[in-house]
Amino acid sequence: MRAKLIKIYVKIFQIILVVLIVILAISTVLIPEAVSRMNPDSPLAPILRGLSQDHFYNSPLNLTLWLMLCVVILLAIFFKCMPGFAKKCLHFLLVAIFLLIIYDKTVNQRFFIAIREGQEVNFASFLKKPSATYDIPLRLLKFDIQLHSGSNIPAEFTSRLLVNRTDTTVLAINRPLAIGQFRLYQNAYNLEYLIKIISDRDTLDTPFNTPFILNQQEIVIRDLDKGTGRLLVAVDKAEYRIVPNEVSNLAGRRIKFDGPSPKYTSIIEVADVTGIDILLLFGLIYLVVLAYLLGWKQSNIR
Amino acid sequence: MEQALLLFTLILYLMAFVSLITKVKNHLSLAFLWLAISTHLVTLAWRSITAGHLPFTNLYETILLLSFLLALRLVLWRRQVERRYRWIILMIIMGMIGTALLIPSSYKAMRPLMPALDSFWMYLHVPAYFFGYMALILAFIYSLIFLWQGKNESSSEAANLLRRLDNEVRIAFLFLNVGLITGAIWGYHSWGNYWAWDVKEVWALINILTLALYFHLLKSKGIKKAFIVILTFMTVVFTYFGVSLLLKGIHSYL
Repeated sequence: MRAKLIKIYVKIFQIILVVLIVILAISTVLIPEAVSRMNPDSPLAPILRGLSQDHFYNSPLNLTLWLMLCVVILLAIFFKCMPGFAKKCLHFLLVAIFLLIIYDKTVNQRFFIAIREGQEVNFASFLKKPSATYDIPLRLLKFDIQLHSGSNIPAEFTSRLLVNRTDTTVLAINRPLAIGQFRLYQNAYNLEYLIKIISDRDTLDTPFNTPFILNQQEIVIRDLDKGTGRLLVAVDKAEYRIVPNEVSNLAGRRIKFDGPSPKYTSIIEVADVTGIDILLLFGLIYLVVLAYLLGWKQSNIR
Repeated sequence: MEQALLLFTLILYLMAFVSLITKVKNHLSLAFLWLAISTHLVTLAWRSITAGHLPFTNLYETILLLSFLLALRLVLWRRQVERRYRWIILMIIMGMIGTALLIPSSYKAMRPLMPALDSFWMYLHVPAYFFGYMALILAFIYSLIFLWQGKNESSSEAANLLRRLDNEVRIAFLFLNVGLITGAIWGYHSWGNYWAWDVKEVWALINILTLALYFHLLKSKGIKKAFIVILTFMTVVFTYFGVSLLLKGIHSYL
């Protein structure tokens, strides 16, 4: 009876594994957007869509296959179809790892925050459910890039952040910052040339070709004429040539355009890391058990 | 200088190969092999010093690393590789070094490390994978020999071959797993994402899932084992070359 059960479990396990291998392999060579745009009359379209190839990694099919794998392994463990304590531990750890990954990928939040130098953002405003605990202002004081000598390849890029208006901290690649259950990672950066607009007591930093409203009129700074050094400014579609750093009369107000000056925007990736430390610990224990099973336990390997 | 060293290394491997197949004294072949490994190591050290980091970061450097690991396996764990099959491994090593010598210079250019690569985990993740690849190359050779010979599995020769195949597959499976998990930890520390469904990550998972079939056979038939190893080897070759050359992802370091 048990031999028959083992045979069934192994067969199901093999089938799920082969299906996963084939679908995963297909998913890497197909571009999801191309599958979505496929002509519905094409004979391949229903097959590829049926295999969720337009969004496989986030699809119920992917989730179902991994869950099926977990169920088969658990059944094999609980119905004593797996010989040896170490093997049971190994497979149990695998199930725990898969379930933690599924939990993380479906429940834990992950998002990006873009902060320009000098700008302040509220951390809570990026959360799905803003909470008072995370009502933390973050201001990017300075963004720095250190290049490898003699090349344009960055050796390091760092964001100097003011957290909660009190603590200054440096965020860098491989040096994340923890805020409660979230962890902030330095991801990327953008460089923009901004014009500072000073009008009466108001100041505003704006990039080129981004409209803003002043005195109920839409203003766009189109370009910098490098020959004359003047800014091309459109006010309600009428174009003006403005001398930077001098006061001009525009849109019925006295305005001074300063710049352009380079400003960095730091792109910070934020991840909810609930359960991840346990996941990585399980991963390391899995390796130890695997090494025991494959190496030390097998005398002929030495 | 580096290319000259590499050429010299290739000549030494060739001399070890010739002395092995002409069946002159065993210690002569071994002496040439040790000399070749020494110059190979010097080449890797030279590259590391001039590049400012260990040679793990592009296709050219990893070809040098993989061939070095194969050679090291040939001298340090000699008994695990039967004498009559050593010439095949030497051929592969020479083929790799020849490829490294002939590939366009743009692939050999030394580039400083990107900030994300400058991590302790790189020094575990990359060698672990290449140690796994090294064992898989040996398993692939044994599988081909097993299929080529087509002998009855109960014969002592076939059983011996299958035992060696088992050993290599165990090493390969363990180190492919070490590579995957250390990569996940590295990704988590650098980007906060231990798994991003990047093309190379998916193919690394496919390598492991395919090789996992080896340990989940109902009847431990040699022919099935050999086919699984060959299939895994093909997926690894695609992961190593195909993903970098044909597909786009965050792991495309050429």
